[in-house]
Amino acid sequence: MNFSFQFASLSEFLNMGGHGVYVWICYIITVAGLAYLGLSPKLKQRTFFRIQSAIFSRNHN
Amino acid sequence: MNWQWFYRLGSPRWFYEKTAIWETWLAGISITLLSIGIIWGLGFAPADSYQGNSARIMYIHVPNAILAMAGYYVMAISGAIALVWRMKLSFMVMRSAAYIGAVMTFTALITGALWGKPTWGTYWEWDARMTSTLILFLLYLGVIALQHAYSNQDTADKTSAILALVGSVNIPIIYLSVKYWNTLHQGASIKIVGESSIHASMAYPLIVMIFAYYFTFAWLLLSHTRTEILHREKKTVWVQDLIKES
Repeated sequence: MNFSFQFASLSEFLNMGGHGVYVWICYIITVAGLAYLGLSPKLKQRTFFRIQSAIFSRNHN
Repeated sequence: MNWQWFYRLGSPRWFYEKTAIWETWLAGISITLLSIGIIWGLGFAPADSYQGNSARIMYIHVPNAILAMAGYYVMAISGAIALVWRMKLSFMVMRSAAYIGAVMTFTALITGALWGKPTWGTYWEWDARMTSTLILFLLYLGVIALQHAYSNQDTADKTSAILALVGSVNIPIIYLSVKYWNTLHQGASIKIVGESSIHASMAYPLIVMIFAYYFTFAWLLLSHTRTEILHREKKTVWVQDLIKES
């Protein structure tokens, strides 16, 4: 199996024989979707602990 | 048979505490596999002799579509378990699967459209597989909408679980659509039984991506469910203890 980088230059890699727009948009959307799914619970948990500990300290002071 | 593990699983606290380490491991494995698969698919897999470089979309479109369907099973089955055994945790898994599945179905539809343009000459065709996948997306949105439609969480859970169960009729339709209706969309190229119609140099990165997506789904499902547990159990002593520590 030939295992080598398929493109001679960066511009060829970006252009992908004319299909670059389709391919790159697909990969960007996918990575963005996964990043959103991966990061949103982390952010929600952080907000949760921040708000809840504020409520906790208000109720106990 | 010892069913203790099953009842333990129903305890959100037990689940939250036990799965912390899993989440870290699954995240690590998923991100590693995804990176390998994406780099392989984008730069190292050969271009297709007919489709050229647009075939690289396959490495993300196929796993997205597979998990869009598998995610629906996870959502419907956890909805069923929750309804039958009145398991709160299972409703939380269902809700998390709905969000992840909706995003993956959306990506499958978009990448499919963008792959269709250079290869079929059209972004969209109302053929059986695409239409049934669009219905899948709408079902996910329906479950999410019902989750937000009631002020009572219990009612929201039960109603959306029923929609998830009724909608599971759509899954075999999607799966069989390319077999029974001769449409624009092609059938499967990788076969477990029989010879695959795809060359190894393209099959390997695709298999890596499919594995990566299963791990990613498991990781995301855990992560979203654990967050949901915190929100729903915030009045309990154990979550209050966690808040005190933070």
